[in-house]
Parts: sequence; C-alpha cells; structure tokens
Amino acid sequence: MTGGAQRRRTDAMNADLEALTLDVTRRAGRLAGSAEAAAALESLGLGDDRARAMNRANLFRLASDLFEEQDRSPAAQDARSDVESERRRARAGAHGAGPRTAARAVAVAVPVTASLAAIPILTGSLWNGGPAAIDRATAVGIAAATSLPVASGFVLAMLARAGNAHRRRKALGPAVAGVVVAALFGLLLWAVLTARALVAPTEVGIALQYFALLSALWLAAGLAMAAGRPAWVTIAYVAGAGVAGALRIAGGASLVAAQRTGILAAVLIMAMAAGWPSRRGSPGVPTVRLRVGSRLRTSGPLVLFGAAFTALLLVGRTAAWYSQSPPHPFILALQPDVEAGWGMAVAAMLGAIAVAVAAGWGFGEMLDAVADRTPLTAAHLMSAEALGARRRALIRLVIAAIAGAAVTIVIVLGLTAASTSFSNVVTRDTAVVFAIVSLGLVVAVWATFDAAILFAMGRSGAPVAGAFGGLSLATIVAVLLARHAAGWTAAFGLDAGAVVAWVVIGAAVRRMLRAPDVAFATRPGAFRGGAGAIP
Amino acid sequence: MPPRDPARPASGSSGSSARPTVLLTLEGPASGVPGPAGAFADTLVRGLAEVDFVVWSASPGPFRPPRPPNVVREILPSRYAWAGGAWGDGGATRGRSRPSPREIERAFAPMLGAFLEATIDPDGPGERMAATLLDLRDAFRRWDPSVVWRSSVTWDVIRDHLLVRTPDGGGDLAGGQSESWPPEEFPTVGEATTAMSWLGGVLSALSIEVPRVDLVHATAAGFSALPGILAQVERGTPLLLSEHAVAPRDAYLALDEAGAPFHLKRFAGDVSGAVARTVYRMADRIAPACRHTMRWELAYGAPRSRMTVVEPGLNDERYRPLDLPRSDRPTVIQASPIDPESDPDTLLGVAERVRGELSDVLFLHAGPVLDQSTWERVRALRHERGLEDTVRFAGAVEDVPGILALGDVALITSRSEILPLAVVEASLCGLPVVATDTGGVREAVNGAGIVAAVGDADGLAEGVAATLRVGPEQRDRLRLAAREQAVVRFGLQRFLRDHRALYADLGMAGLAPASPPIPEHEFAASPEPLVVEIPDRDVVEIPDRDVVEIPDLVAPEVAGDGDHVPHEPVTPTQIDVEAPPHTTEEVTSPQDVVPGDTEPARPLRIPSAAEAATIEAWLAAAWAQHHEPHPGPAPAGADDPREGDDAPGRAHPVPQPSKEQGRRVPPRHGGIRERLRDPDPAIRVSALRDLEDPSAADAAAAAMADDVPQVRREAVRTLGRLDGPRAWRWLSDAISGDLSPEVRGEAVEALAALITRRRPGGRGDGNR
Repeated sequence: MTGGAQRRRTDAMNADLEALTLDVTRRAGRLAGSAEAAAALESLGLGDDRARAMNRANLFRLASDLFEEQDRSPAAQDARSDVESERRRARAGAHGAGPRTAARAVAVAVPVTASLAAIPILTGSLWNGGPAAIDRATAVGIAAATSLPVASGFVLAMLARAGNAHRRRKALGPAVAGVVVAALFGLLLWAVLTARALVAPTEVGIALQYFALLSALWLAAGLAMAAGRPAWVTIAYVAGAGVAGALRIAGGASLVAAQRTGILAAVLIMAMAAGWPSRRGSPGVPTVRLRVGSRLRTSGPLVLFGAAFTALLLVGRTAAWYSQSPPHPFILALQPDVEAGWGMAVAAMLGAIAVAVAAGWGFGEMLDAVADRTPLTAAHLMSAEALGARRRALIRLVIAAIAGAAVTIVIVLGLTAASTSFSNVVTRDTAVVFAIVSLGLVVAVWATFDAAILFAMGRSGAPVAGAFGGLSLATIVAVLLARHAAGWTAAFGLDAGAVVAWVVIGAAVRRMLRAPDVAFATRPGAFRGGAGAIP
Repeated sequence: MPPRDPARPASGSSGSSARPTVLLTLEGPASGVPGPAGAFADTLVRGLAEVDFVVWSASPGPFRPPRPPNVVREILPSRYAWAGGAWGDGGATRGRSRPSPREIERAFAPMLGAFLEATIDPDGPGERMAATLLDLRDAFRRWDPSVVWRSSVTWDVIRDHLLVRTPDGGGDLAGGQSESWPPEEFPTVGEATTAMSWLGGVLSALSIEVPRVDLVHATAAGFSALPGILAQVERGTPLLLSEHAVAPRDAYLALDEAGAPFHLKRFAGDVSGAVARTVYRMADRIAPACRHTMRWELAYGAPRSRMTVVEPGLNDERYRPLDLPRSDRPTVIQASPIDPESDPDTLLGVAERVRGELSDVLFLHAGPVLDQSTWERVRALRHERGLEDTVRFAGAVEDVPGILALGDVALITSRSEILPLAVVEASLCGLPVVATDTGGVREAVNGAGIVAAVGDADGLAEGVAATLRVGPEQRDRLRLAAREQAVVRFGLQRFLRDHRALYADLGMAGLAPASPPIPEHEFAASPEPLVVEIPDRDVVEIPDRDVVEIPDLVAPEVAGDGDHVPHEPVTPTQIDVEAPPHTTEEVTSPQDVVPGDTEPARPLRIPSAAEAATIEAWLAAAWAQHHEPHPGPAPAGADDPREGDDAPGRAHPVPQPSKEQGRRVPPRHGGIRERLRDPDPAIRVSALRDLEDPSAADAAAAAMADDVPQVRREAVRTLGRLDGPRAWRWLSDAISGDLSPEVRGEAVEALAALITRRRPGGRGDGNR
C-alpha cells in the first residue's frame, strides 16, 4: 500500500472513531472509563469485528481509544456536555411540585381549619340559649379542646409513617396507639370531671361522649389523609354536617343525637376512604418491620409535638372559660363573644394554613431539586436558595393571613347586619380577641411551617422543645390573665406561646439552612434504598 | 476487631449434618423471573440434591414454591434495608450501640476512607480491600448503622472522596475558585447524597453474620459476593464464582439506562469495579458461562489460571421438543422481552422481508414488555407496515417449551447479549436458531444455527427463509440434530457433572456421582390455564400440554385428532424455477417499500435450492458432530483481551465426531467431510484441496472456523476456487473477521478473483 493510501485509510478510520465516539457519547454521556465505553459499544451491538475493521485488536482496545477520543473530540465534548446537562435537568425536574400539590394543600387545610374551629361549629347554636345551653356548650367545648391535642400527634405520626398512599397500612400502628391513648385519656377526663365541678354534673356524660366521638373523628381523618385521600376528609365533614343538619331540621332530632349521627357518618366515610384500594396499585414498596425502639424514635417526637402545639393553640381559649367574669356556677363556662373571636380568627387562617401545608410539602421537593443542581463545592448557593424559598413561603403565608382576615371581617360585618342572633353574640371583645388571636395564629402557623422543615430533615428536638416551651408560657400567661383579668385577655397566652415556639424553631431552621448540604445528606429520607440500583 | 481464624474447615464442618453445605449468593431472584443467573441457581440447587444450600439473595423470594428441600436457609439482605431513618428489624441492630460523633470520627471515618481509597487505587482491590471490608463489617456489628450513615462525619468522608477527582481537588470549598469551572466538573449535593445512600445500602449486607459452610458459591462478582470474600479471608472458606453476566459491565449499563450523571456513575463504577476485582482476585475458582464473559473477567484482572468455562445448563427433560398441535403456518418464535436491547424493530424488518417470500409466515413473539415506549412504537410500526397478521405478540409466557413447540425456527434479534438462554432453550427444544452476532451468541450457536450482524434484517431474513424452506422430513432430522447437540452441550447431566467436579476440586466431600434431580414446577399439572396478555392484542392460552388452543394463531387445518398437520413447504423449485443454477434471484416485494420508512428495505435475496441444501448440510453435520461426548469444562483459552487475540466463533473448538459416529448419517460428501474432521491439520488441508463440487462449498466454509490458520487459508482458497452460491459472503466474513492477516489477505485475493470471474468480460477461467 502506498503512503497516500495508507494515510487515507488512517484518516478514514479516525473519522470512523470520531463518529463512533459521538454515537456512544449520545447514548452514555461522559464516560467513566474504558470499561464503560466497552459496555456501551456492546450495547450498541458492536463487537470485535467492528474493532478489527477499525484496525484495533479487539473491542477493549477500541473502547480504550474511544474513551480517550471523547476527551479530544470537540464534537464529543459538546455532546457529553449536552447529555450531562440533560441528565441533571431530568433529576432536578423530577422533584417539581405542581398544581396538584396546591390542590392537595387546600384539601388538607380545610379539615385542619374545621377541626380547630370545632368548638364554634358544634356549640354555636347554643350560645344564645341561656345558662343551661352554655353548660352544654362548655361540656362539648371541653371534649373538643381535649380530644384535639390527644389525637393530633398521632395524626402527624400517621402521616409521617405512611409517607405515601401505597404504605397506608403503616398508618395503622399510630392509629391504634392513638385509640389506646384516647381511651386512657377519656378515663382521666372522666375522673377529673367527676372529682371537680369543671362542668355541670349533668353534662359529664355529654363531655365524655363527645370526647370519644371527636377522637374517633380526628383519628379517622388522619387515616384518610395518610392514605392519600385528604379530599375525602372534607367530603366526610360536609356529609356529616349535612346528615346532622337534616336530622335536626327535617327529623326534629335533638342536637346531640343529630351531631352524634353526623360525626359517625363522617367517621364511616373516612374509614372507607382510607381502606379503599388504590386504583394505581402498589408499586411494591419493600416492607421493613421496625423495632419498637425505632418506632418510638421516629413517631414519638411527632406525637409530642402535635399534642403540645395543639394544646398551645387551645390553652388560651379554654383559660378564658375559667375567668369568672361574668360569674358562673361551675369552674368553666364558655364565653360566646370571646369564642366568636377565636372562631373568626381560625377561619381567617384557612389560606395561611393552606400556604403553609403546600410550602411544607414543596420545601422538601424544592430542596431535592436545589441539591441536584448545586455543585458540591458551592453549598452556600444551596443555603441561599433554601433560605430564599423559606422567605418567599413566609411572605405568601402572611399575605394569605391578611387576606383571610380581611375576608373574614367583611363576612362577619355582613352576618352582623343580617342576623340578630349573630349580632347578639359579637361584641367589642370579639373584635379584640380576633385581632389578638389572628396575630398569634400567624406566628403559630409560621412556626409550624418551620417545624415541618425540621421534621423532614430528621431534626425533631427543636420543634418539640419549641412546642413545649410555647405551651408552658402560654399556659402561665393565659391562666394568670384569666384569673386576674377579663376572660378575653387570656388570648394573649396564645401570642406569648406562639412567639416562644417561633423563636426556638425558627432559630433551629435558620441554623440548619446555613449548612443545608449536611442536613440534606444526613436526613432520614436519604436512606431508602437497601442494596439496590442507584435511584 | 475479633481474632480471625485462618483455619479452613473440613468438609461437613458447617454443622452436625454430614451433608456438604454451600452458601449460594444471588444478585436477584432465582426461578420464576427471567434471567440467566436465576435459571442457573434453580437448575443447580434442584440438580445437586445431595448438597444443602444456604441461599443469600439480594431480592426476596428467590425460589418459587415449592422451595427445594435442600435449601436449608434463605438470607435476604433486603430485610436489613434502611427505612425511615431506622435500621430494619431482623436483629440487625440488636445489641449495637449508638456511636458518638467522636467515635465515628476516630474509628469509622478512617475505615470508610480506606475503603473508598481502595476503590480508586489500582492496587486497592484484592486483599487490601478485603481487609477494609472486614473492618467495616466489624464496625457495623458494633454500632447502629443508621447512626453511622447519618453522621455529618460520614458525609464529610464521602464528599471529600468525590471531590478528590475533580479539578483542583474541589478547589475552594467556600465557593471561590471552583465557580470558575463548568458546573458539570463537580458532583452536585444531590448526587453525593445519592452516592452515600447507595453505598450505605450495598454495604448493609456486611452486618449480617455469614454462616459457616463448606463452600461459598457466588453467581456474580457483585455486592452479593461480599459474604464470600469475608468467609474466604476470615475462615479460608473456598470461594467459587460462576458468572454469566459481568457485574461491573451490567452496573454501567444499568447506570446509563437510569440516566445517572457522570460523577454518580463514576463513583458507582469505581466501587462496583473494585468489588468485582476483589472477588476475581480472591476467588479460588472462576467459572464464566462463556468466553465472552471470560474476556470481561480477564479485563478486570481475573487470573487466567483459576478460570474454567462452564456453560449454562438447563433441565433437558423440561426443555424438550413437544408434539403439540399447532398452526400449519411456518412459524418463527422469538422469546425475548420487549425493550430496546432486544431490537423488536429488526424483528419487524425480518418479518416484512420473509413475508415477501412466504406470505403465510407467522412470527410469534413471547416475552414481557419491559419498556412501554418501545412496545407502543413497535405496535404502531407493525400497524404501519401491515404486519398485524404476520407478527403476533403473546406476552410473557411461562411455559417456554410449550411456546417453542409451536415454531419451526427461533429468532433472536438482540443488540447486546452475553450468552442468551433463548439459544439454549431453543436448541434443547429442537429449534434451529437464527440470531444476531453479538456477545456470546456465536459461541452459543456454535454452528447449530445462523448468525448475522446486529440490525441486519436482510441477513436474518435470509437465514430464516432458508431454514423454513427445508422439507418436513428434513426439518424433523434437523430438529433431532439440534436437540442432540444441545443436550450434550447444555443438558442437565453435563452441567451437574461439571459442578460436582468444581466442588470436589475445591475440597468438598460427600458429593454423589449422580443423583436424581429435585422435580421443579410442573406446568402440565397446573390447575389454572396460563393466560398472559399484552394490552390490546394477541391473547395466548396454553391450558396444558395435551390440548393447545391459540386463538388467531392456529389455523382451522389443525387435525381433529390433535396430530400436527405439517404445512406444505415452499420448495426451492417453486421459487428458483427460472433461476440459473448456483445463482440467486433478486426479488423486490411490495412490502419492501413502506410509507414512513426512513430507510427502504433492501430487496430480499431469496436462498436458492443449493442454499437450502446448505442449511440441511450444516445441521446434518452438527448432528453427526455431537455424537461425541462433550469434553467437559473447557480449559482456559487464548482469549485475553489484553493481548488482543480473541475471536468470536473460535471460542469452543468444534467437537470432532468419531468415525463410528460419523457413519450414523452418511454425509453427502462423505470421504472429504470425514477427512475435514481429522485431527491432523495436514489431512484437513488435503481434503479441502480435493473439494471439487461447488455445492459442497459449505464444508470449506465450516473449515473457516478451524483453529489452524493454514487450514483456514486453504479453506479461503477453496471457496474462491469453487465459487459456490455463498462464497462471496463467506469470503467477506473472512476478510472482516479472521484473526490471521495471512488468511485475510488470501480472502481478499480470492474475492477479487471471484469478482473478476463473475464480471462480464472477466477471465472466466473458473479455477486457479
């Protein structure tokens, strides 16, 4: 062969190698080594024949040359850069929170708000009925105010344990534990109500009955939400209210009988929703049985936080009933005008709660996405993004709260003008309580959002400490004010407690987000795989 | 660290039982799930009834009920997976303490660092890595792994390791210098987190106590082999590695399939590769399933002196030709999953081309859908090309022998294979194979079929058409030949004999010379009909083996008594009636031009009568050849990829039949063919020189697979001289595929002479 022919042949083979490198690069991206190049060549159907045609002894020699060619060829470098960018985009894009998240957040916020507003919903029709009706309302209120803290922690544990709809059976453990604890607490409540004249002796049975019904209602709601069906909780609540209203108005049933039937109907609907098999089927999530110690370590803080934080929200409210202004025969007596203020403030928080839930869900996804685009050498960028995202979520939360308050005020003004019975309840104290409680609730929702971030990162100490610290201060402030001042002043207890919780939890979040890469890498959810393929 | 006992236990020391005990480690499930490793394990365990097996499986449920009684224990490391931040139950964390950050920093971090360093150090794999694995094992037994892996100290170790290989070793971590580099030069926080999580998962098996056994038999050089390394280093328990696929190769392909970014891929590749190298270096014996696997193992540093090729085996009682009622249409079976690797587009191309000649041909595909987009595209393409009646998809069919009994030829269009079990199954069931020449396919086919280049629909169609054209009597003979050859190579007895020999070689006593295998799942006894459905189309029911009803697939001509009514084959004369002898006819069928086809199909080259005879001849030769006993485990050959002297198709020397066996089927060119099988190369060369009949060119073509270059060179000369119908193709193969430059040069000259003779106005002197 002449020199020219030899050169032409060499040039042709080099062109072949460049083209092949481009093909392999488009398929495999940047190669990790010649072994990967060989594997990729084989997956393209190439073997020793092709290697020999390209003047290489075998496939491995060709793969080695191809691996080196990828570093030399500008076209291959461009291609591998494109593939790598695409792969990173795909990883980061897999974490997006879409409109579905917002819809689910609203679906969760409605029953949460309704639960916090259970006292006015269940007792509102009694507020104009005289002392006997107030005694009944106080008993129902006590049941609601005690059942919520008892159950809410277990609801949180259910949501955390289930994780997604395919692991709904895991929520059964916390649910059973919740039933047991609720039963024990019911006995305690019975003992306390029997020993002390907190409510009228004739209403003790009503209080216990409502305690049992409402505990079942909250736990069933937790099961349905853990099964990925939060919308069914709203549907069940509405259906239950409809049943109770129909029985009361059309059937002439007593208030207790109607509400009892309505609550049981809602429990039934939610239990069915929780147990209904998923249409999508199970993806075969491996079941790992955890030891009791492990379960307590993961669920215990959630139970404690839920109980303490819900108690923090309710302690100022119930303290107001302790106030003897105006005087009442039993230790506790519900004050309709103050309760109206609390109810209005809770209703005004609907939007803020939805924003907090959506942001809490989205925050984990956001952190995943940020982590997938932040170089390991630039964790400060991740910190800036995470803190920025938290700040934006908080701004949205405050705006939603302000908007909610404005809408609530308009509605209340309208109802006051339209309804005499409503205007009889609303007083100056109502407006003051509304203002105080709204402020406290905004701070509390903010603290809850921060707590959700910490729990997602496996840092449960600060949320629990913040919740108990806040509860302690709220109790002290509310009881002192209720004992020595007008009943409505107990609402300041909420503000005091919420601020303590906000300070403790917020400081922990800010500290964590200053080094989010470490928190992200060592969070509990980071280890899911077992001995499997890279996700 | 506890003292290590280097004493090697005597056979039967694993317990009070006198039966030998083997720890069999699997990367995935055994039976019930497609995959060579699963079939291997199932066949081995049921075959060696005299051995107790402890099965260590990365996936749950390795054995489908009834579990073989000699599986005395199953260990499933997945039970020990992470879950919600806590370590799974099963005693994994019982008695383990929660280490303080200081303990992790002082004791665990150096161990992990040493392990990671060994993964990127060329001298790391081997005993050094084994020592780090033992250290990590001790750490995981002392401390709660969930605390260890959630420590910021551990994160620092992983992060520093990932940054070592980036520009400037990571640059200024505060964000100064590193930002001047392109972002893809550095791993992301998410990738590093995934890497740490993955590493924690794959090393989780270290915390499980390795049972005392007589032998550890690993089926892959992956993480499932870690207990084998530990047992070998700590107790001296022999380690046998039987590998079908190659673990690091599969790891890379899986990572690319999953779209893993570069840094994650490199980390996983480093770790997987280092573990594989360690397994290869520590294993006492390595038994690759084929030479293709062996080449990869050699490339990863496996010592050649410890390697022995042991081909896969299947229960030849289950995989056998079945006399089932079937369609009278000529039927091609493809048993493969539907995914890009199996290249179903080529299947459609082959079907389109073969239909041009045999209008009633049926291509029956059996296999699960692994890639939905491929399935949808193939279905659309089938509709576009009007192939609904020609190509049918049966879905995942469990009864492989039952489905193979419905066909005349097995087709494999895969782009990438190691040693496809489909070839073994088809051969045992008596089906000739037409397959793409990839990986170890040529090695598996080994003369009992036709191979064509990957994606070469024309070549595959040619092979399928030629195989379908043989008459019914010839076909029965071919089936028998294929079956007999396969039983010798891939039958259960050979497989078990090889493994008993390997076990005995590794010091295991108490092995029976032969024992009846444990019966496996019996399809015929299944009370429920097997119904497998692919959405929208083609339901195939195989109720049992006595009555087979396949809607849309079985033509009404099936005889009422259940006997198979063979279809009337298209005889060579029907097609080649006008064709001159020893030439081929170019036919362009209407199906070849399809709207929407980006590349028009080439005209189908219809095989001539002589080619049909060739097909018959090679199968007859195969039948004759394989009456000689199988030589047993093949010795290590000259296939070191580092030396560059490997050649597919030469991996297994073709077994030479004895003269007595050769007489059982009188060859058409008896004397010369017998001389071509003579052990003496000189006699083979003289036989080639004596070949005169152009229709016997296939004998010369067969000699092109000879180990001796002189014989191959003479074969090339003979092909050029005879100018047979496929001489051009065979010579082209030699030019592109032969190892010897002399043979390739001879082939170039022969082909040039042949073209000159055929060209109008050429010399036309016929012979040189």
